[in-house]
Amino acid sequence: MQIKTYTPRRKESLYQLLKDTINGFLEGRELGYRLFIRDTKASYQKSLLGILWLFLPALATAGIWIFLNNQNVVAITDVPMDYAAFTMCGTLLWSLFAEAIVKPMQRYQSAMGMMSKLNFPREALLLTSMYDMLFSFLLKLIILIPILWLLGYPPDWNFLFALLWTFVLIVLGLSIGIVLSPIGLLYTDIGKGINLVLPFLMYLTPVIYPLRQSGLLAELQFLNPVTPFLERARSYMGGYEFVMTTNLWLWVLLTLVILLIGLLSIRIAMPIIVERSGS
Amino acid sequence: MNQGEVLIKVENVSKKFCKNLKRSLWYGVQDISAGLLGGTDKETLRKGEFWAIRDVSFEVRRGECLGLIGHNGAGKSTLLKMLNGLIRPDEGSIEMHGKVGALIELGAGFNAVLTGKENIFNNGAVLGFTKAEIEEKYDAIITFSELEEFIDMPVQNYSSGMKVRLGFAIAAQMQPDIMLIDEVLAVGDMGFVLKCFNQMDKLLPNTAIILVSHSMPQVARMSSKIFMLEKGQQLFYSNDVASGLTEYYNRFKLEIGDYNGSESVNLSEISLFSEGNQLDLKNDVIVNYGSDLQIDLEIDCKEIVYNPSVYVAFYDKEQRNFAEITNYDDYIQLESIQGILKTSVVVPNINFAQGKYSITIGFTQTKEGARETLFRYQSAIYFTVHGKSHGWAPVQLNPEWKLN
Repeated sequence: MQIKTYTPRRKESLYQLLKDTINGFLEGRELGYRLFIRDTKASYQKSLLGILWLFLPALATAGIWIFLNNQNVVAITDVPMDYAAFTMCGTLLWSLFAEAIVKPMQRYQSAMGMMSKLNFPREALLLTSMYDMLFSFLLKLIILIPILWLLGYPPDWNFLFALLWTFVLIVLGLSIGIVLSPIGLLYTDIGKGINLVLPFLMYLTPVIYPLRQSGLLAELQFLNPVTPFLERARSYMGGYEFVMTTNLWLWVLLTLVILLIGLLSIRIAMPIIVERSGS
Repeated sequence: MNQGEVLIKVENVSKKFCKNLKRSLWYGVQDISAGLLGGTDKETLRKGEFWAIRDVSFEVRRGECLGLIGHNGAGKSTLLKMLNGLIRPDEGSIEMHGKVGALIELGAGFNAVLTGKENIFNNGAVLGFTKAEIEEKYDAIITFSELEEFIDMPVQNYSSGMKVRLGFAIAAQMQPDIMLIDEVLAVGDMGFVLKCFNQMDKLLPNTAIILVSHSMPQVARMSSKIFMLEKGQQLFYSNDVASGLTEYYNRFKLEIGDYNGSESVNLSEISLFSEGNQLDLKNDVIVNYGSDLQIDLEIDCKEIVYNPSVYVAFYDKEQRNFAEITNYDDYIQLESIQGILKTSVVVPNINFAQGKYSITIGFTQTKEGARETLFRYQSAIYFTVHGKSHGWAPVQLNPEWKLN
């Protein structure tokens, strides 16, 4: 028979914590999927435009920049692919990242009532976040692929690698989101701060302009974790050369570290948060 | 399954809470970082903190039901949340053996816009069932909840009672080793509540149950043990359910009754006697089941009162008037009186169920054919009946039986 022991957290080892986390994912598989289906179904029942909301914002951003570029208001040069296709890829990839950052917190927040009454593997909510992101990714592909094709970039085998690196980009977003969750669930400042900062970060990232060779922006994009993944994915889509290989693998490693820290800290934090969220 | 094995073991559990939210959040941040960095969070109270649960220990075995009682804010729900693993104890340890079914809030996890049917599958998954398992139990759930007609309707159109039905029906199919029940049946209608209790009776032999309720008849019906909390501390813990319930009722302060009447006529003194002793009304008034109760009244009539009559009513703790004495006129007829009226009555056999009762005294006159109430003391005196019988009904008959 299964025996569960609850003691103050300080009496538990890191090994136990890790084991619990892995078990949480295993036990939460079914539930994670159910919650995803439940909320996806429910959210589109009360909306006329439904899933359109998932790509409208990204399309609007891309549209504005394509328009501005065409009108020569801003002159973006040295673009390695057709500018419209380039921005379209960029904004959709960025929007996936931006969505992934806030996703875990949103998921936890909306399940807070449930968490203060029911004991279920909390990791299920992270699986749900992941399913949400994959679903959103899929919908964006449905729009992106035909547009790219029209603009002269028919999908080839390299496109599969683009998908893979987009997935890594999503994992990066989720990992940062998970790390921020413990504090973000206690203080609303984190959520508000993210909303404030994300638009700026987008313009500091080569989303609507190509990689810079020199200057302050070039230095910033070097430190920016989004840049290598976004560039790698887009370069596979547009068939241009990718130059940040070292950065890419460094950030893959760092993403895993962030993810691990995030998973462990949210497991420690959740009872403390639930205790303070009331019921 | 081993009948009588310990399934719930709680040892010296304490939990602290902070009264101030801002500070509480900040302590939360501290606790999280201490947990991450392996720092030692101190076991002493920080500023603004108090012990919501302090040094609580008990055991529940398979086949036992522990009635967890206590006033609002005593810490019952906090304790239950710790048992269910939602929050962690600050001290001590809790061991839970086997599958835990918690009816802390039925319908938590219901999505309002989805139908009852969809929610059965979702809620089942939250409780840890696979889709196949739920399909297998689906019919039983619908039958138990009696919601066949409404199962394809969104849950937001359900009444709270219907939600409870659906929630309990799902949970009842879990066959858990441990069941935690927190006052969830309060909104169900009588028929459904009885059905739930029958279901719990069926589960009990293989289950350890903890029942939190403010309804003492419900607690008395299910429990084989009582644990009473007050301000987070153990006040009573024993297999003697009857004493536990008496203790619970005694914790309520004697309330001053509502007085309703005129200046000129009032009740100047009331005293109670039982088994030959005068009862001290300043302390807990205890009357043993089956003993006599004598009520002595002194009524001060400053005006002349015609054809006086006294009326005595008994109320139970749920404020039901379940017994009264209205035969004063059969024994005493005074045409009129002025000054002090002393009268007394003996009720020979107080066959009330275990629990707390109050006595209401009324005084009337009949003048020129019209009856008029001169005063009425609502709940003038409280007393507690102490005894073994604590059924649902306030009156517990004690007749003799024989084999024919």
